[in-house]
Amino acid sequence: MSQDKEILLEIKNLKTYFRTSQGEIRAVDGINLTLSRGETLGIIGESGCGKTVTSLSIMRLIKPPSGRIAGGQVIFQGKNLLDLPEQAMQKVRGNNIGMIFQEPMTSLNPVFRIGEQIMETLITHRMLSRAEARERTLDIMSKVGIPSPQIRIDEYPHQMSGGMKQRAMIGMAIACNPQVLIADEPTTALDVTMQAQIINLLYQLQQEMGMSILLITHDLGVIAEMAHQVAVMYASRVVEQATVEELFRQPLHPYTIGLFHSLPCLGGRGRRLEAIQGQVPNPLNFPPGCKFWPRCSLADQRCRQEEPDLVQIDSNRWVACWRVSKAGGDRIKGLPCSSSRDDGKEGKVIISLQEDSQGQQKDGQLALVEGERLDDRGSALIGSGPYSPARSFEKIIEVRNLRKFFPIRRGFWRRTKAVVKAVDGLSLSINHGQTLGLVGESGCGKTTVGRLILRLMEPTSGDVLFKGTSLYSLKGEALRKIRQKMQIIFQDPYSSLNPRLTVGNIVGEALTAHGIARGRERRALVENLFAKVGLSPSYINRYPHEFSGGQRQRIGIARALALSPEFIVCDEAVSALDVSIQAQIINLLQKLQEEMNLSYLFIAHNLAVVEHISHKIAIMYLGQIVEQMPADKLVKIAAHPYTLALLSSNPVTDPSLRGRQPPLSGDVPSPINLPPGCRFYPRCPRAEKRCREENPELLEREKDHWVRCWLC
Amino acid sequence: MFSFWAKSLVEKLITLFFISIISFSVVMLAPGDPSEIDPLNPKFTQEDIQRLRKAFDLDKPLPVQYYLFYKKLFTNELRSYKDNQPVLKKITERFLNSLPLFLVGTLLTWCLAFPLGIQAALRRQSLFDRSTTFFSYFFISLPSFFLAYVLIIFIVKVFNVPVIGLQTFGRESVSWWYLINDRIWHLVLPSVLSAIGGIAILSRYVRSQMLEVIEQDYVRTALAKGLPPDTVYYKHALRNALLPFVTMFGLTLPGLIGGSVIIESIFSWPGMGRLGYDAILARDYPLILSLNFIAACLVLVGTFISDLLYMVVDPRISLISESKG
Repeated sequence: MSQDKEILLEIKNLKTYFRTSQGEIRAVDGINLTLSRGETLGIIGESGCGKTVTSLSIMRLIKPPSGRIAGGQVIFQGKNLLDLPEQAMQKVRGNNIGMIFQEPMTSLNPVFRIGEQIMETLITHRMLSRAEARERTLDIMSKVGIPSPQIRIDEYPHQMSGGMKQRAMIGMAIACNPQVLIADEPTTALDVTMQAQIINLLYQLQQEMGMSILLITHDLGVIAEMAHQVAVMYASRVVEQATVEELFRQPLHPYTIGLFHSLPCLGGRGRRLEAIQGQVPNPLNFPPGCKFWPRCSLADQRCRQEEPDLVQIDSNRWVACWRVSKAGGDRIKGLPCSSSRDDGKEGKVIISLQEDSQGQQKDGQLALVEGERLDDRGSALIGSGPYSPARSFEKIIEVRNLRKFFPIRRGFWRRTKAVVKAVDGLSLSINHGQTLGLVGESGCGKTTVGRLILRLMEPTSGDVLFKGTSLYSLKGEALRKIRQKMQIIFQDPYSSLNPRLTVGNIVGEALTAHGIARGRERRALVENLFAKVGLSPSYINRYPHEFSGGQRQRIGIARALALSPEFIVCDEAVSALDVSIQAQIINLLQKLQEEMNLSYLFIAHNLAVVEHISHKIAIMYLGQIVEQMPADKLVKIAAHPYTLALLSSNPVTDPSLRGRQPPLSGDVPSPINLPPGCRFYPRCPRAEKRCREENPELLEREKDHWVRCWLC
Repeated sequence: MFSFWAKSLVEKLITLFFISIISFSVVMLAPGDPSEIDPLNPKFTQEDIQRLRKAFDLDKPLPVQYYLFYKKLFTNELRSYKDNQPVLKKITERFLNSLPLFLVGTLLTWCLAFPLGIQAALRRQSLFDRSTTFFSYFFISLPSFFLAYVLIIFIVKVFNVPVIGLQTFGRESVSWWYLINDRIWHLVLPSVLSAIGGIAILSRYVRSQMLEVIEQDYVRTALAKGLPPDTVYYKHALRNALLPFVTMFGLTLPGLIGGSVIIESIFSWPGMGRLGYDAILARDYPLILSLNFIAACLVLVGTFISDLLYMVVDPRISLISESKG
């Protein structure tokens, strides 16, 4: 479908290298991409695969002296951007090609007003006067959906929420009506609801302005919602390229297939995630041959020796794999995240496309040599089985009416002017050997709950019982004893490990502190823990910076397991990880739960992940639980408007469903001045008079299904 | 905003009160006594000592002495033990001598360190960067008294200008043009010397700060907007890189006292640093304590100015202080 379209941006054999003290890194190694007018080209891959370097190379923002573009062409409107003099390139940046970045928090200059930062682009490229530029900026701000631009234009970035900042970033990038917009992970740092809004905004802007988008992401859902063409990058190269419909119907490269299988999806519980083993290789020592073979279950002798080229195997499809050819054979069947959610079974052919019949014929020619079937790998039910109250013998954690208020003091006498109700009357319970998933947008109090349960914070009122003992009545030795049984795994594997300690000491520290083991005995225990979380025991004398993100998270898990706890709080434990690593960690957590009969409080904002790992799910909004139910019934019985909104905000890996209206607008309101009635009513599409006046109670709608809503 | 001012003022006054107690106690409780300044003098009888102690209130209990001292300080009745001159008058005189040295030195430091540091950061690994790095460490490690003597000899030999003291001795009655020239000659060398160390250290800080800032995402954003590099570096990056130096700037104020004892001694410059140094040797308590008190005030004023400047240059600060305190 793209052949007849006008090609706007063409990348030919682009190579970008970085010099380091250990040798040369080939961050982008000979890639070819084309972007047609008015279309979106998605680049997907895990971190370290060269996606961002590709986008920075197009803009010529690779920093010398360490980085250089070693070869290739970037042809934009007939000109090779790599040959342009720097001054001419400045006229392209921000004017013909706009760019938005991943972190809206750090990508805006903190000391200049938002308006100033947008106006700057217009003044530079359009030679507008300040007054004209301000006028245009107001237009742009309303175009990207920033409410009351007259006020917002003079605000500083820190006064805006993450979503607002990303809107401002988009405004800055589209200010001069660029032909191409490069969006580098535009939604990764945002909540699902905000992500849905931003995707919708980009979609609308594209329809309106007809610009082409180069979309870089690691999220298959975002690709499905936005892209027309998709390029899959792995280890500095493109390994597969296809139209989005083709790719989502039938990924061919083993890496692409692995990405799909790593993804937990709503309504697909009980399936073990088929994580790709290992991790993206270090670009300093890529394996010989195909760079994917060490992680590939299909690799043979040839894969180990020769690197395959990207070859066209179909009108819309290029693949770089020796094992995929045009010859006949078995097709790989079944992608786990099918759009038809009702049949949660394995091995389905996916997605009903309009051009289905035509597509089917083509598929017949595509095959995997020797007909090995990827989906035959063990997909037995493990880990989180269905939640059954009968199975739960006793409650390990019981939270009773927990409250945590933070006073805001102001003025000379520091009088309390307002109260932040971070947690307001929360009750829940976690059964032995089970997982409670706690979900909500950022700022709803999830993390505070986790800390309160571990007594890392004192509550304003309420109580937490651990196996029937009140945690807040304990002191001294008794508290220390019980602390051994409760541990936490943190979100950020980079900042939560002390960089000055060896990982062996990090893991073993608690053993010494609680007087359990020292010296040789401790060492043996630590080595044992390392083996348990899938790390080589020989690593124990290394330092955290020597490990990848996934390995560090394993170290974090080993540290939590050191005291043989019974209960672990996983605070966004997999949110910062790449999909394939995320799947490995989720599988590890489930395996450990089975082996050691652990109970988890799994705090996360990704509903699909939570649904996958949990037995029971609690949805939290502004300090209160709004709905609670068994995880396997989430998709079927969810009733609260907020839960429904979260569910439909979750990007669906189905390109045919794109262009949906985002279910929620606006941000989570500040917990300082809470609305008088139901806390959700200002954003609720169904709010009535009663909702505005009275906050509903959490009531049991049917067995094990609790909802806080007047309308349910 | 007003409550911030009021609170800050009250806090600073309380701090000052405690500083006054501690510094008074330290000086008073230190061994030795002003009356023992010349114990070997045979004319100094026991009665004389008692008379002196009485005259200086040294025979009273410490809290009373404390009260009397600060009362006299604030009513300008304090006199030096050494020559019975009013302390504030002596200090003012010396202050006016120190001021030009401090101003020229600080101005030189800040005006040269910034361009050097910024250029070194922007041209990282270049010959310019490497040579500024080399010379910075060279001047940091070179003792200033050594450099001072080398330069004095050089200037006297080549230009035949004796650069010692405020002005050339015995030429007070020459023309005003000559006098100004002479004054400037005498001012330049000590200022340059006191600036050299400052430039070497500060330009290093500026360089590393600038290097850190140009790696930030918002600098990349500014480049991606197609702004000319000068705008990116001198507007977007520099404004952020300056933030920590605003704090440092307020803290240079106490340098007025005691900041340049070595330089003042070498050049026989009658400034504040030497005044304090001589007062300590003479056990001139009123002068020591007054200088101490003024230094404390300067530190507090300096931090206050830093706080205010910070609020001006960093829009995030005012909000944080509002919501947290």
